[in-house]
Amino acid sequence: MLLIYTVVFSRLMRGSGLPDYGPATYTVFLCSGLLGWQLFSELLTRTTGLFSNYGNLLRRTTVPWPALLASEILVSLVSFVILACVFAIFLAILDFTLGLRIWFAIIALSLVMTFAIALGLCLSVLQVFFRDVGLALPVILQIWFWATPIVYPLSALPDGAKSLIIINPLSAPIQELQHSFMPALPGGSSPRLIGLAALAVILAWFGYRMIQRNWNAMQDEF
Amino acid sequence: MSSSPPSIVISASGLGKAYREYAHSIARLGIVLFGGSGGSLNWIFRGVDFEVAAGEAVAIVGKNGAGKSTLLRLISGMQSPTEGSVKLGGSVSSILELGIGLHPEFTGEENARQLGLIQGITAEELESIIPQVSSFSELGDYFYRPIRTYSSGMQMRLAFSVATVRRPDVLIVDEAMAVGDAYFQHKCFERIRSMRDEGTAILLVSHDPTAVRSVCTRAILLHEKRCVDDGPAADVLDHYNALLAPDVQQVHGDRPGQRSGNGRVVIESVSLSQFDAVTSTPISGGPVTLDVRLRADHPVDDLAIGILFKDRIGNDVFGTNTAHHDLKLVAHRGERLHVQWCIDQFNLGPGHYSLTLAAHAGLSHQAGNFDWWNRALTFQVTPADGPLQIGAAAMAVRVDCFRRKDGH
Repeated sequence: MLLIYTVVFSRLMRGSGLPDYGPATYTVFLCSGLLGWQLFSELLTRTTGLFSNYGNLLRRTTVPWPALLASEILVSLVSFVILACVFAIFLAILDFTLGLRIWFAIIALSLVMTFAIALGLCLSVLQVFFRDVGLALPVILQIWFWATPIVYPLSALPDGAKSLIIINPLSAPIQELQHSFMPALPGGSSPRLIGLAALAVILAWFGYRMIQRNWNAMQDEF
Repeated sequence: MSSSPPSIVISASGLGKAYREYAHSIARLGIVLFGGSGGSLNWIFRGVDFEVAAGEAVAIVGKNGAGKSTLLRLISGMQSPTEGSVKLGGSVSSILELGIGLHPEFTGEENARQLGLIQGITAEELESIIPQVSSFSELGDYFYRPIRTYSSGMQMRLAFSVATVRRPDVLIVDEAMAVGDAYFQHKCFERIRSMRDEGTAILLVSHDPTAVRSVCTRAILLHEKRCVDDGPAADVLDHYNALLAPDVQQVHGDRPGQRSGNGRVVIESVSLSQFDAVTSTPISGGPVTLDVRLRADHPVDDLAIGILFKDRIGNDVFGTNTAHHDLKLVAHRGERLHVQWCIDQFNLGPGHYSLTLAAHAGLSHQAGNFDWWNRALTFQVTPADGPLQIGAAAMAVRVDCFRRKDGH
C-alpha cells in the first residue's frame, strides 16, 4: 500500500509545495503522517470496542473496566512501536536526523493518543447500546483519513478546502509530526494544538462520566 | 462440628430487576449521553426475599423467562439490581451460561489458567490446580486442544471443573449442566453434594426435578414476576408442576399447588383399602384397592384418571392412568363416577408415600387438566413378615448358595 501511495502520489504531489529533501522526500512525508494516523485509528478502534469485544468476559466475571482499557492501550502501543522501529531504520538508511525536534514528534503523538482514547471512551458506551457504531466506524475512519493532510500537504489544496481541513482536530498534530521531520513544512500552530488538548480532556471526562452513569444499564447489555 | 446455627451466606431483600424500554432510540441516546431517566420499566421480578445458610442447597424453579437466570446474575454480581440488595458472606463461584468466558482459540489448559487467574488463584497454586482440573474433567488429549474443537458437553466439563476446583462459600449453577452426559452429570452432582456437606451454599437452576430433589432440600418458585413459593423442594416442585399444566383457572387446597385444574371434573374423594378395610398403613406386597370418586360438572368425552405414587422426597415411584389401560371414560353433566383400581401385589417397600391423583383429558395431563390433586393421600407402607428389605421397590426374592465342585 505504501508503495502505491509512493509511486502514484509522489508524481501527483510534484509541485504541490512539498520542500525538497532528496529523492525520498515524499516517502518520508507520507510515513511521518501515517505513523500518527496508524496510532490514532488503532487506538480509536480498540477503545470503541472495549465493552463489546470483551462482553464475553464481562458477562462472566466482574472485571474492572480500566484494566481492560490498559490492556487495549498496551496492545496498540506495541504495534505502534514496531511500526516506529521500521520507520526509524528507514530514516537511518536515508541519513535523516531529527535531533531535538524528536520532542515535537513525541508531543504530537501523545496528543493523538489522548484524543483517540478520549473519543474512544465516549464511543465505547454508545457502542454498547447502539451496535451500529462499530459498523460505521471503519467508514468514518476512511473519510477522516482523506480529510487529514497525510498523503498530501496542506499547501496542495485550494484555499477554500484548506480552511475545511484545518477544522479537523487531527490536522494539527499530524502537521506537527510532519514538521518535526521536515522543518520547512508548517507545523500545527500552538493554539490549535492546545485546543485539541482541551478537547481531548473534555471528551475524556465526558466519556468517563458516561461510563459511570450508564454502568448498570451497560451490564444488562453485555 | 460447631453447635452454633449455620451462618447466612446469601441474603436477598426486596430484590427487583427491571429493564428500561424506550419508545425511540433517540430518547435512549439522549439518556446515554446526558443522563436523566426515561423510558418505561419492564419488571422481570420484584420483591424477592430469601436467605440461604451455609451448607444449604436451594433450587430456583420457574417457567422459561421467569427470571431465574437474571436472579442468579444479580446474586453473582454480574448485573445490578434495580431495587433491593444482595449481601454475600464469602467467595462465589458460578457456572452460568455455557461457554461464557472461554476463549475459542486457546486450549482447555490455557483457558483453565486464565479463568483461575481471574478467580484470584495465585500462579503457584495454579500449578497444583491444573492437574486436578484435567483429571476431574476427564477430557484426555482434548484438554490440550483449542476450545473451538470442543462439543458443548466438553465445554461444560471444563467450565464445571474450573469453577469447582476450589470449594467456594457460594456455588451458583445455572442450567448449563443439562448438556453433560449422564456419567458426568452424576459426577457433578456428587461434587455439588460433597461441597454442600462441607458447608458451601448452593443455588441451582434446573428443569430436572430428579436433579433438584437429589441435591436441594429447599426450592424457590418464581412465577409472574414474583417469588410465589419458598419451602421444601418436593412441595415447591409440585406447585411448579401444577403451574405448568395449561388451562389452570383455580388453585385450591390446603397449600398452594396442592390442587389445580379447571374444575370440569372434580375428584371428590379417594380411599385406600386392604383386606376390605380402609387403611393408612398397608402391608407391603399385599393386595390393595384404590377407590376414586368423581363428579363431572361438564360433559367430558375423553376422561382419564391417573394415579401416581411418590416417595417421601417426591420421586415418582409408580404411576399410570385409565387411558393406558384402555378404559374409555365418558361422563355426562352432573354424573358421578366411581373408578376402582385393584392392585394385586402392592410392591412398595416400607416407608412413607403419597398418592397424587389427576383427572385429565387424553393420555397426559398437559392436554387438559380437569383436576390435579397432589398428595391426595399419604400413607405408610409397613413391612410384611419376612426378611428385612430397604428401598422403594418390594421384590419377591429367593436366595440360594451352591457349593462348587469344579473348583481347585
